[in-house]
Amino acid sequence: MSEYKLVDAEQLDRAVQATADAIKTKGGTTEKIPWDKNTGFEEAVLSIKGGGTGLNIEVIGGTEQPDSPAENTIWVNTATDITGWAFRADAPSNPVDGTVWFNISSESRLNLNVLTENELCVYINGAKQFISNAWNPVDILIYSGGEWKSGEKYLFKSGEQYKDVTGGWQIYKPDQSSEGTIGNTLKTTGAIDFPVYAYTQKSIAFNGRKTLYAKVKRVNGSASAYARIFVGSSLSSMLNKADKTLNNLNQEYVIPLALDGIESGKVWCGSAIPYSSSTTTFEYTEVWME
Amino acid sequence: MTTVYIDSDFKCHAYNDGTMREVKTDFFDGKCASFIEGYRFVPAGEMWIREDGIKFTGEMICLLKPFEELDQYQRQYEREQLNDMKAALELLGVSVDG
Repeated sequence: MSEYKLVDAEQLDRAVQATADAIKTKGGTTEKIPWDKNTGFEEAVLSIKGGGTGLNIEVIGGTEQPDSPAENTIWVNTATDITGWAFRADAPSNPVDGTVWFNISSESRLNLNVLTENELCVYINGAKQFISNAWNPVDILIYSGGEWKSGEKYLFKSGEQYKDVTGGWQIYKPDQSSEGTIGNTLKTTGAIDFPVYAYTQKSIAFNGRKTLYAKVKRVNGSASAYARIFVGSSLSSMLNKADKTLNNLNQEYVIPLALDGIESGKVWCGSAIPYSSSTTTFEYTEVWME
Repeated sequence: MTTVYIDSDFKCHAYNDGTMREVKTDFFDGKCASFIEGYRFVPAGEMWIREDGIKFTGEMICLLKPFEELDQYQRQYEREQLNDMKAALELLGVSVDG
């Protein structure tokens, strides 16, 4: 025989209503929420997607890219459970294991409209997850405008090497008469028949990005020399390439290179000097993906 | 240097059907026909506009198909080349290991 408890019905109604209102606020919905006689509001509570009032985002962790995502879904490619997340310009203090930190920036191709009405955009330039007392870079994809987009845009900009993504840049130079330095620019001075390149130490995962760009200028030498960018594991294993002659000295040019058909690879930026040219220096100020 | 042929959409072909332009490049040295035909070659001074509207000026060599697919064709080609070489050497009475 079931037990019955005597309760103040009016008080119970108020408590249930307050709970329902709190769930709606937290989940950012005005819809009716389901009540189950055995589990109460459990389903509604478990379906709350994010922190904050009315945020228009969903964060999903896992190693399988979600099928049929909603707009503004952030997929964090991780095997570690996500225990919470934060949008910040600097790392959260006192994180717990599993916390994901979305690094917000004033410069990123990735923007999210985080409100369901009006518009408040945040720009994301990468993410890290707190695992075993350390922040570990994690790959993220954001479903925006009907397609998946990746968070990291730049590979090099004004001296910043984006080592989390690139592993840092290195110089390849086959001959004493050629030179290369990595400072505020990627500077390559190629001699005749001796190309010089700056390249990423890590293979870059392009995550659906379709175009690589490099901003470069010629600071001396011959107008018939080529600034060259390519993706590949080595000079003898180029997957693609773009060559450009820069006619005007000290003028910045942008070289685009199609990434179609390539999932990942090291990025190389340098000089290819034909036999008829003199030693020529190119300076790359920015390298990025879109 | 390898001679390849490009059509009006800058797609590479190993053989000319009579409508294509000839280009020479060392990018495809040693590559089989199936590998070559997975690429697009935009000559210097010319422009290709991708379906998303992005403009690419030459010289640019880029993929039409996933590289993994082309790589399989190339590896198969190289295996066949190696087997042919071994067979030829054996005909000449040269001992071949492996």
